Amino acid sequence: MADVKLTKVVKRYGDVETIHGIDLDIKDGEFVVFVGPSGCGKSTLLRMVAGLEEITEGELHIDNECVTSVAASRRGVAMVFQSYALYPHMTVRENMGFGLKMAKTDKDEIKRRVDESAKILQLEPLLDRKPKALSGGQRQRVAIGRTIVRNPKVFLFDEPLSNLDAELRVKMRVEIAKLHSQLKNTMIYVTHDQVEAMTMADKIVVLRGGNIEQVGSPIELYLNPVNEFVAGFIGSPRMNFFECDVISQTSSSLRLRLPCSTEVELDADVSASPGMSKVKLGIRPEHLQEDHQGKVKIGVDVDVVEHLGGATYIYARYAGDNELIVQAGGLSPVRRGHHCDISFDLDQCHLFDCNGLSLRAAQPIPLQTEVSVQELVLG
Amino acid sequence: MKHLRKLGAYLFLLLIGYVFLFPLLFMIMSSFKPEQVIFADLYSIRAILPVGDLTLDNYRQVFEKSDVLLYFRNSILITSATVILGLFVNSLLAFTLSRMRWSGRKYILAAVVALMIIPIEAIVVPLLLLVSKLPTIGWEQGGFVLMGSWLNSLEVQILPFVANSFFIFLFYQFFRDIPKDFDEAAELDGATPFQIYRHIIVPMSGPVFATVAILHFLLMWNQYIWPIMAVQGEDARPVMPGIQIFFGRQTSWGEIMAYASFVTLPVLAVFLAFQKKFVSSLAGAGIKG
Repeated sequence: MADVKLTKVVKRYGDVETIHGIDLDIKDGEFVVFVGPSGCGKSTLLRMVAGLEEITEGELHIDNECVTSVAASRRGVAMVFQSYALYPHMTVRENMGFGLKMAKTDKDEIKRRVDESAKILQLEPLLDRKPKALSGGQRQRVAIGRTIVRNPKVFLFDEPLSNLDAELRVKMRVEIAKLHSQLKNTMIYVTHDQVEAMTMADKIVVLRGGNIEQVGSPIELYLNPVNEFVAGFIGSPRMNFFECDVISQTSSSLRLRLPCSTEVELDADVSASPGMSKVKLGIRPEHLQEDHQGKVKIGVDVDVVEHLGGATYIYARYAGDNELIVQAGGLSPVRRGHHCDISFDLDQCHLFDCNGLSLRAAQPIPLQTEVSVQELVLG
Repeated sequence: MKHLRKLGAYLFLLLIGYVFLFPLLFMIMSSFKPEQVIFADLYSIRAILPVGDLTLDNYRQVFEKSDVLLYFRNSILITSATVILGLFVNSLLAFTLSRMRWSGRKYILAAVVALMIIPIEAIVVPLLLLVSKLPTIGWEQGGFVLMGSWLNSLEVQILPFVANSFFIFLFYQFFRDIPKDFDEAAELDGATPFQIYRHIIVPMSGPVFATVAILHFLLMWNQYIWPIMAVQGEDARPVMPGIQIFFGRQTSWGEIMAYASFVTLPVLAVFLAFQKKFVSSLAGAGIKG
């Protein structure tokens, strides 16, 4: 178990800089998820921690020891690859014991540790099979088992569930969460799937273009995104944004005109941004209501309706070409082509200035919401 | 109509098969026939059938009149040593070219590709000059000493042919397509580059190793020009130049056919034994490339 600390970490390929001086503290035993769109540098950052990519500038500390120039195998990390990278010519037992064999560990000790790990992951009946005789989920478990055998300080996961089907992905997500609560090791997990990030992480690191946009607990990021990018990225379906004219402003409030010409007043700390003419209002699909219980009402034209059983996604246009998504109840009567009224409460709205920076949180974060997914899943 | 077309296709294939098989069948059948029978059967289908007065006399004569067993032993030694060393050397270079990052890698790869277009005939004379000046290392009176030149030895027929740019390129093509995740997983497992080669890449590359082994075997077994130039005496002579020596002696066509059949035997045996793997690996190599 170990802390991981990145200090001004930079990655350059020739003249191209892909990671721009990242500072990050990961505490012992934390489950941290790097999330972001393709090309944001999350896998590169993970590979730099693993030692598979050289750190051009900056320092990496694992367990208070500087490992910036230390070989991958001596950093005390183990990694689960997206492709699993199980050696196809070796049995599950040989795959799991390969690292120990390279370290010239005693054969009996290898057997003991492989058996121990196999027991944790229920791999015992599969130990003599080759990877090609395993299903996707079993291969994934072997890949995880291979890392457990080495008893690393830090586990690294590089999009490990992206090759699995939706059902298995959910199952493995829970298994990894259980494993974390059982082993209590530091784990760093890379994904582009924000649902995975939200459900598994103690702490999410949102990356964009080689920079950290925000670090925080899933609930913190959901309720209080620091900018428009994080607000749009966290949450599914993504947040709706509308450009609004600023009619007047004080240091603590704004009066806005919505695209449908309705005027609203919101509390916001705008003392640092005087004289704004336009702002963006953000509201999550789940905070838009089909009924008329919200304080603000807007009329929308429905384009597409997706019935998922438990919920209904309504894709609509509002005040011209402003697209918006509404998450309604599972038995919503709304149909394509309907015109209907949608309402929302201003408490649930986010505001962003012209640079995309947040001007207000949706609502204060109650302390009891800061629970990890492990606690939620496992009680 | 459909059946007629099918029949026509089969007849055409039979004809093509006959054209390709005729020399081989004629050689083998003639090796069991006396001289007058060979000529009597020459213009009939009997030339490729095991009919008439069959005998092993031609083979007996081959063993009596030539050192074919010595040549055979030399060829086995030369071929197996070259193939084994070649598999190691060529695959190791291909491994470093395809899976490791080092400065100058691209230039070496370009040189390997460029070397593929130079035929052995173009370099035999300078090569001969080179090996004639190279001394061999011997053991005398408890120490190493430099002795004589490489000419007329087995090593002169082995070492210049161990590295082969075409085989390096075949390995390179195959290795390049193996996902890098395997190397990285092994690297995290604490494996050195050589251990990655030995424990991960080699066991995963059976098809390309089979292809190169067979192609290299054929290349070496059929060596002709180089042994004629580099080997004068009997001691280190392989089978192919041996046929020329044998032909120069008082021999009959039946005996020549017996010699040729005898030296073709290992090639056929190797091919038939590995036929399935060879064909599939060639196909695999094609897809990979």
